[in-house]
Amino acid sequence: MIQLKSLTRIFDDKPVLDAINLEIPEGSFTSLLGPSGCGKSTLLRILAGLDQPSAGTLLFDGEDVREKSATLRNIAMVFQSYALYPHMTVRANIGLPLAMRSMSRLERLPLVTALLPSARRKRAANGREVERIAAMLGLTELLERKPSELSGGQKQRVAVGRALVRDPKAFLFDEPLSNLDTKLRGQMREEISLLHKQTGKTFIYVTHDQTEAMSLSDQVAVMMEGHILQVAPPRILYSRPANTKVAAFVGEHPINLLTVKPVGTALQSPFGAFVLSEAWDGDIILGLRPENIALVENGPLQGRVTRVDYLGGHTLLDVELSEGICLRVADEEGPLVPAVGNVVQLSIAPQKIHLFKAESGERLPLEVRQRGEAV
Amino acid sequence: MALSPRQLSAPHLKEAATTLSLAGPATLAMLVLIFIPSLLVAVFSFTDYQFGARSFHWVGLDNYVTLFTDRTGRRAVTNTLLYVAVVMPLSMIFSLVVALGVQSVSTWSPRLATMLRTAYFMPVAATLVAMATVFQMLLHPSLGLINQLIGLVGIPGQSWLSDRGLVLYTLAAIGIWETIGYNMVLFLAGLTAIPSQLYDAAEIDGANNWWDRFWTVTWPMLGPTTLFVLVVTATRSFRVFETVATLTQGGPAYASDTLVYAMYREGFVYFKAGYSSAITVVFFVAVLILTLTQVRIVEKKVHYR
Amino acid sequence: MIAARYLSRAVSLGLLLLGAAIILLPFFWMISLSLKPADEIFQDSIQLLPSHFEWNNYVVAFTKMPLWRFLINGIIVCCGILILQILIAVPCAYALTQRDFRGKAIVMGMVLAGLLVPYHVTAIPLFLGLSQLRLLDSYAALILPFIASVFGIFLFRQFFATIPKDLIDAARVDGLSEMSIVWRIAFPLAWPAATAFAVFSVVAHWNDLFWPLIAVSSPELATPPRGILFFRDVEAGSSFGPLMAATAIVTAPLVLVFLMAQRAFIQGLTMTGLKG
Repeated sequence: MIQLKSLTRIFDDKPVLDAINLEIPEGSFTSLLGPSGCGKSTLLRILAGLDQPSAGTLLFDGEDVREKSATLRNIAMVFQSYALYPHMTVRANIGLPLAMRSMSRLERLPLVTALLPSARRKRAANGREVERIAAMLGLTELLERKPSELSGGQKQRVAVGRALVRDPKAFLFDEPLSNLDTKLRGQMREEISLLHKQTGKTFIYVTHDQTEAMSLSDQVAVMMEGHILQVAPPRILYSRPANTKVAAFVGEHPINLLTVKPVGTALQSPFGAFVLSEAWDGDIILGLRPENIALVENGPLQGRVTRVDYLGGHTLLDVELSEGICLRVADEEGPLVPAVGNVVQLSIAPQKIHLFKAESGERLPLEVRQRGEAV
Repeated sequence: MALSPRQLSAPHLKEAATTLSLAGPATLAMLVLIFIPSLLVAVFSFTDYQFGARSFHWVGLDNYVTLFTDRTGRRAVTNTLLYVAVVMPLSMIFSLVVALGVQSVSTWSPRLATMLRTAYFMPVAATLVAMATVFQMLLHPSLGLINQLIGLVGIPGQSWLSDRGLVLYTLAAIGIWETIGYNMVLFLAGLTAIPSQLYDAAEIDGANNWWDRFWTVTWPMLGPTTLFVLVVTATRSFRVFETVATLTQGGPAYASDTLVYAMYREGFVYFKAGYSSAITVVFFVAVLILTLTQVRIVEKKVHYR
Repeated sequence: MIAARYLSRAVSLGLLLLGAAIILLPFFWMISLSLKPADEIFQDSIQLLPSHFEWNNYVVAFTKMPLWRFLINGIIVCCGILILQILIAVPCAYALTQRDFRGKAIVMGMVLAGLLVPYHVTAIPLFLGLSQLRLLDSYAALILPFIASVFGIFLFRQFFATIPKDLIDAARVDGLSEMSIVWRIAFPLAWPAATAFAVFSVVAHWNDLFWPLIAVSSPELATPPRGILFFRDVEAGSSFGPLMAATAIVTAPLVLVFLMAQRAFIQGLTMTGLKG
């Protein structure tokens, strides 16, 4: 279990991380998701011991590790640029962390290794371990190559192998797939997921790509501007976003947000008339995902199509409602093929509407149903 | 400096210790071997200190006054300036001509060009003292090869190294021989950096012979390189020592005395550490001015790219 | 047109070859004299080549003077200087590029300022200091003054600055200490810089006369150039053949390295335009 308590990192008087609280359960796959510059990489570097927090506590299994160097924390890290040692073979790259840990300074000297029986034994054991890992990752054929002779995917595997070889407490991944092409990315994603299942170790994964975060993780921490906005399993993140920022960031297409003013429990909006489960005093932001709006033959809403983006499998439409308000609609390929200028009918599932407090953007824990529906 | 508690915490002390183990030895070595001695030289230059003496007196600017008024002192200064004034332009002109020639040969025979480059660069790799002893043989007044060769075309033999009026120019010629290869390589690098489209453009614009193209494209584009070579050659010439020490020891009658040789002689032959320090300071200031100019040029050169 | 082009090529090539001949003349003459019998060395008439090869000059060169000793001294001094320079400069260059610490700007300033100081400037105080320590006339006197190579720090710093930060971080996570990172990761990656620096350092110190002239007086400690002068002064006027043989032997190592590894050699010496 890794615990972060009001962890803060200040660069040049600006907080890059502002009182971060996070619990990462043993063996979980946790993603830190956020746009670039949100502080997620800084957080990862602090976890690795490559950077020091300005304030706050960092506990590994209840033990404060702030004063432990990267070496002593026994954490493995896979870097975005892979960070393979260019002058060493794949074998040496994977074997280096083992050698650094298992052999003493003396035993690592080139000549001594050949002469000292204990060093020879350890070296042989390390060699077998490297080969086992290489076989597991399909790198056996490449062991004698230099990193410059490898493809991107192969480099990625070597970087994983180097992390895997020394049985670390946790694996940190810093945008590990962002240098790969789309096809390879999907394949590597599966491999990482498989690796997590095989090792059962804690994986901490930094990414700006929500597809990666959503598909891989047990829990996702959404970060923006040095804050964690929500920590939740992917499904909850999507279905119950904690605030408008998370709602806007998570999801394939940007969510529709609209501020309305309820009167008691009655909520009159351009999307239709709704009833709140409790009365709320103050402005409310309605959030409605484009994919939760359907194009129908006969629906409660009507509007004119102003833009059509065919995306293969589904179509993204901008529909101008009569009130002059624009709604983004993601339409599954159906019988209707709208064109710009067409007037279309829309239907909305009220249970998919998200409610947020207008003044803070936080989720409003209320239910909503269509007016006239039975309770 | 007050240290905050954070800076005194264990990891920070450990970090500081690591940094010290990395950068400490170099910093200490720089202080002890470069900076403190440089300051001491400046201090010595105001004294009459002699190596081995038990005491010294402050003499103010006397050493400097001697250097610039005494006949031998002035000789060292003027000889050095004259040496630089001869070596610098001639070495540059020759090396530029050679570089242009080698460059044009490389367009039709790269192998021949490489061989020429090798030949011209040889003196840079050679041990100058050893080569100076060879020059001593070549320049022998009665039986040296040089006098025998010029005798073939009817020029009387010269006392290259013992004629007061000639000796400095002989040394300068050796200085040119020694530096041409180095400067040629610098010029070649500058020449290859000129984009060939510029020559095509110049030709279309009417610069259709070699001479016009040189003045419209090559020479202006070589500007930064030329400045760089100029200062490098000047700095190197200012340090002339090996040939003087090997061939003339400043003679005859100080006719080939130079700053660094005078510094050596006054300090380590006559043990006049104070006076020698003053010569050192003058030499240092001259080189400093040149090097600072060079640094500025290098910075400019970077901006060109 | 074509004829004119070939003519101009021939003329310029002819001039270049003439220049090269002048440049190479001393080398040729050195070899020629070193192989001439004593009575052919000074003659009234021009005789470019020896009538027969007098290899004995080389034998005499090694027996009359401790030429081996000079060469070994040269190797000891050059290697000693180079190894210590690298041991001191490389970690410092690493700290200057990959670490943050108080006083970093000051150390960097010292490096840049140090580049401006020719080594002749420090001779008098260093001589005095070494004599106080009773170290004059020893290998230490020949080696110690040069171990702080600001140029080395400068050169390695430029190379280390190009190493991605991720790579250093990866090494830290992999359990390498900072010192191990310097020697196992950073230094091997700066191999081109190391080669260039080695050429620069060895050429400078193998050929140096100024400091050996000051720091040592015993012939047993003479470096090759100093040894040549001993040789010449002791054998004045009598055995020029062996003297030329000795100069050829002293010049040979660097010239041979140059001929075999021209590219590295030229790069090593011209990258260093900042310091001559």
